[in-house]
Amino acid sequence: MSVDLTSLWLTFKLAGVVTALLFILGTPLAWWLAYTKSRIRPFIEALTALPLVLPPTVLGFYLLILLNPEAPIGRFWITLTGDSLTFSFAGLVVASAIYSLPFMVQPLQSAFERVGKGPIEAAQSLGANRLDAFLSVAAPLSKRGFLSAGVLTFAHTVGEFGVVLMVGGNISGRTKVISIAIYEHVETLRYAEAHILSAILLLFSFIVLLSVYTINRYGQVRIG
Amino acid sequence: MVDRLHIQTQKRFGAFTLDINQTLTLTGLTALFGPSGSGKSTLLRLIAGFETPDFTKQSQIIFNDTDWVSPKINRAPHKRPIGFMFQGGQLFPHLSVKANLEYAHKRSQNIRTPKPSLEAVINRFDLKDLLSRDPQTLSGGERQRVALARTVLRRPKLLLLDEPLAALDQSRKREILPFLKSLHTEFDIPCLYVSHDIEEVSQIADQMVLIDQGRIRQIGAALDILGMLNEDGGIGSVFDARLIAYDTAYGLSVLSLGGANLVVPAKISGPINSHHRVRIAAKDVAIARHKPQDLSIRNSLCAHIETISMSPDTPFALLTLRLDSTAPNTPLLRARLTRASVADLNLNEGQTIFALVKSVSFAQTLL
Repeated sequence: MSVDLTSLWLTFKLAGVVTALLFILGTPLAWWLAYTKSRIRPFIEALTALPLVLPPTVLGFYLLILLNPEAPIGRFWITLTGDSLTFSFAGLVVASAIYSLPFMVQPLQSAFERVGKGPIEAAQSLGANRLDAFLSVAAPLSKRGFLSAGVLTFAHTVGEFGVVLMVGGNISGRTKVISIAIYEHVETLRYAEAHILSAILLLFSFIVLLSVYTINRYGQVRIG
Repeated sequence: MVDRLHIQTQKRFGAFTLDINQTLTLTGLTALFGPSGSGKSTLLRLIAGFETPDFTKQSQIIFNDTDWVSPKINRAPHKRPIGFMFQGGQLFPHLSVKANLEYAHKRSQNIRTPKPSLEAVINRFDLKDLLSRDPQTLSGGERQRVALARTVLRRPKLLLLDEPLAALDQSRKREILPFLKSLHTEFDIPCLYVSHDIEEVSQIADQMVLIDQGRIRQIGAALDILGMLNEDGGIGSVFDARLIAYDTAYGLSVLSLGGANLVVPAKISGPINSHHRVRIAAKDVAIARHKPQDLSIRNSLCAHIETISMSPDTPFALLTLRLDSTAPNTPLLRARLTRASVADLNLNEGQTIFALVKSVSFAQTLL
């Protein structure tokens, strides 16, 4: 009996990369959703929230169709990197990023909405451009939103199964994440290994949520 | 140099459309005055750049010679040399008072106007003891004082104030008003001041712009417009009066209304030469053709009749009177007589008469 360190490492690497990627992509999207007066806002909001209600297999199925080497995106990726987007780590990142998008965008959007226009306008009236106003005022005032969004995205990516299975399959060291490893252990009746991995995930998830709630409660730190 | 702000803009808000086409000459403090929901705040936000006009192609906001809004330009708020005072101050809650002040100071380093130093502003607004505090722990008055100091540190060429005293009680207002006055007297920043509170406006405004239902109804010197506003006392006139003497034996104060002396049966609080805004209701002014004698009314002022307007549907006529011996920009005195009296006395425009002032009220003194 041994702990499947490869799957464990792969899972946390995937979650880390996806969280970082979504911080970069999700922040401007959440900002836009919080403040735009555009008529297409509800459409974008619905699209962003879609992974919450869609069965992971449906999302995985469409992604498989989009990303496979025969499809334009998949083919383009191969000419660009020489590797396939399906059944690869890059494919897992793309799929997980889409699947976890609402967990990044929604906490950020509500945090930005809570900050409101007032502080941003105050910053602008004191000579700050939009980026400056965001970095110096809106972002620090939304720091809990960033914390929740980051933790939720990370934890959600660690815990996903269906999309990963559809797009990534079960290739050790490449696409076999913990949840799939557990599934495989159970299928092959190796309950001891399944127990260890499940317990690790259970403990991890609990500690993560506990720290979020603790920080949210006591972590009122003034910066600057 | 006198600053000019040209505004030509339309913006739908609530049930109205703000429709402005006007060049404002900005000297001292200009009050945008009107009832709630009249569009004055929307106008202020358009000037600041927080709102965009509905038809940008036909809109213009030009400050002196710089286009802020024109068919091709919509300058971002941080590129307009404005300061903006919000109702609640909008101090940044994640920064200390000092960091709030530094925020503005840091971002105004490349503005080429004489700069007040951080220390000077802290001293002027008496903030030394507040520097390390959190904005959340400040009282409403302290908060507005910090916000004013922060705005001054931005070194604006035009200061926009959106009901900065509305959230404060009377004593707090009294605490802030001198600082508001100092903005244009000491720091030489012209101010556009939105308010729906006549008391506030009558204390500090030099100029007034009356706004109602999205349109500018009247622009003029504050004293003139304040006199015309229908308040409890009806039409009247408002003067900037100087206390010149106090007669302790009879308990009378002597005020100078730009040269004409007025005796008031009260001890006015304040030193000799202090300024007070007084209001004389038109119904409290009577007129005599000849210098009256053996009369209990002590104030009879020699004046010329400028205009006589009859109101045919009422028994009354409204007269405007220029007081003799007053400085040229002194407001006109208004008198309300019956049309019958105007006919009996054979009053005509241009005539020299004596105005008998029966009573004077003081704008509630906040300063």
